[in-house]
Amino acid sequence: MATEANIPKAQRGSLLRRAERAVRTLWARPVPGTATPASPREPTLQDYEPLMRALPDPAMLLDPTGRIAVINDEARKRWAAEPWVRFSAVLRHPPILDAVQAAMRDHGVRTIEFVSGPDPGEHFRCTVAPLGFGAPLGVAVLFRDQTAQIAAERMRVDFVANASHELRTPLTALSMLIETIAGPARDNEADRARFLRMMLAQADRMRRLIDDLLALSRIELDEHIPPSGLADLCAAAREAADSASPMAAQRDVRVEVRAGAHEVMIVGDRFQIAQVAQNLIDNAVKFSPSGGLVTVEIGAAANREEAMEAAGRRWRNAGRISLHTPPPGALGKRFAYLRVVDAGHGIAIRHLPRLGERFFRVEREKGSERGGTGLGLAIVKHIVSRHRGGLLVESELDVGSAFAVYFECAD
Amino acid sequence: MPEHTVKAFSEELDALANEIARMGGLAEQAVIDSIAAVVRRDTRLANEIIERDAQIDREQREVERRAIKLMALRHPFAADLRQVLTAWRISGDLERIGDLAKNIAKRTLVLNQSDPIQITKGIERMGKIAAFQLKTVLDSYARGDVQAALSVWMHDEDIDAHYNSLFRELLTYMMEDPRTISPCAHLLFVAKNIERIGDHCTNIAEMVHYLVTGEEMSAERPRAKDDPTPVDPSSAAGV
Ligand SMILES: Nc1ncnc2c1ncn2[C@@H]1O[C@H](COP(=O)(O)OP(=O)(O)OP(=O)(O)O)[C@@H](O)[C@H]1O
Ligand SMILES: [Mg+2]
Repeated sequence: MATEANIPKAQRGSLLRRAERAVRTLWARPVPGTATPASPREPTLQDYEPLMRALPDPAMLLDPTGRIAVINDEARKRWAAEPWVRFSAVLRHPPILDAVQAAMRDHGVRTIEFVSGPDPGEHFRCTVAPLGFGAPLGVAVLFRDQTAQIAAERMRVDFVANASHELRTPLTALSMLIETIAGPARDNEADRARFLRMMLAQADRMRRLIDDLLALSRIELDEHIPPSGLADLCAAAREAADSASPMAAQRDVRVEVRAGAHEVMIVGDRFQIAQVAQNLIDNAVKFSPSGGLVTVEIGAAANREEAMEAAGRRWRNAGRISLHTPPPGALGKRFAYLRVVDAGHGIAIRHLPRLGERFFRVEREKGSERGGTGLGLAIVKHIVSRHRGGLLVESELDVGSAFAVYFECAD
Repeated sequence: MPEHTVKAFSEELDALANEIARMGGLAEQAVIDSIAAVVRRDTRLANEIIERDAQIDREQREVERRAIKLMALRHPFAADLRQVLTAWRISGDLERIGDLAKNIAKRTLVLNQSDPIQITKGIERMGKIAAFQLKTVLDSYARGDVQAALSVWMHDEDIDAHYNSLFRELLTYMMEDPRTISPCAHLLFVAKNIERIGDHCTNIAEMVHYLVTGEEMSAERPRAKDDPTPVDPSSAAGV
């Protein structure tokens, strides 16, 4: 603090005068509520700048000549536009230009929807609202990007269509078999037995499909509820390998689990983690050649990045993709991974991004011959996402595939 | 007072640019919709396009009126003169693009009366390229981006190449099944129209180059020379 004593004499006078002035202005300040307002300044479009900045969607303010006066970051990023640029140089879609012009003229608020650009285009819902009382200041143009929403809608429709289609295939087979048994094969004992076995297989396929669909919708239901409880990756891997052993024996495939003696604990739903291991190991067995080897490896890493390296970046010439990536998460957290490797014929790079999409199978015909419904990886992806984990694939044609999941360790 | 004049003049140039943007938006929509109409066999959309074309024609006359007035009253020179001239010329190209889209829509109406032909994939691809060219060149005009305009000018050969392969494909189709000759001929002219839309895009690209640099484009544009189509009398007359 400056006291009288350590301030040079020459300045003391001016300091006093300043203090006096400060006191006087304090006294002169009106008591709140009783004051007559100072003459109000004319509002400008720039006054709205903080508001624009706070909006999560693209937004602009246009001056009465149709130039951009204020533009928020969202809009700037999307259209690479700047203040002072003519609005029509940024968007020339006739309905929106009309709405802007009309708003300048009659001060009415309008909401329009438009698609910008060639198919599939970007879908926007756009509100145009005039600003200012009496003298028009300009108009606000607020955008809402609906592209993702419309795509999701389309996907839902596709889903219903796909699911019904997948159910219809075994159903058609069933009715044909029933007709055969009731008709031509009525009197042949051996044929009847054979057709009944085939019917059982088709019924099985339908049941599996429905089970998978139900599992998927259950997982989706609590996808946003973080899992509680603890799961041991090693135990999950061993159990899954055990229950895959009949199929493995049948196909002459060996499954080897490489895990230390210790448990590798993660925070998670034990049953869901078991399901992840099961689906990945089942796939590896299913897509292995006869006599092939499937290895399941469990390991731990010091952090997320190291886990990603160890789990999914091992092969030099392979195509790879991250089908799900966890949020950055806390620093200094250990991660554990489970990696399933097969020596099957691999997956072409162009198919990799579609893995985990419902009902996606690389080769539809072969997949159905192997009894797949194309829901296994979709289930894995949802569980991984609920657990805030990651899902990685590396694959090389004629060499094999490796599917890996990784999760934060339990403390 | 002179300051007032200057301000009003720039406002008039702005109005001219706004008009071109609006025309561009209309033409762009017409092109995108006309391709969708052929591919999806959408009669209602085709009728809409035909109706909307009058609006583009009106806008073009408006641009012309403004340009003439500006030249007569303001005697613009240098960059200002270029701005008026290019707006005028571009509006002509956009009006033609609108006509070509309308012609595609009219042929869609005819095509929808016969059985579908499994060859619209090629049309769709060509149409997508043309729509993208138009979008790029209109953006380049709005931003004064010569580089983008040059890329439009260079890529026109893509459309030409597609056109030539589609032409051959349609010919085989017609020879295999003579009943398809009439619809195939319509598709051929649809393709031809798309190709010409591409040509108008390169014209606009040349205008953008002139507007920004003040120089005409000099180099000869690389293009497929052997154009196999006969002249389409109906679209030449601006059906
Ligand atoms: N290890 C693998 N090797 C080669 N291709 C694979 C492998 N795992 C999955 N795929 C491919 O990904 C597709 C989708 O796998 P997913 O597990 O979702 O379905 P599915 O195994 O066909 O059926 P489901 O698991 O529902 O019974 C498979 O059909 C297959 O084409
Ligand atoms: Mg599977």
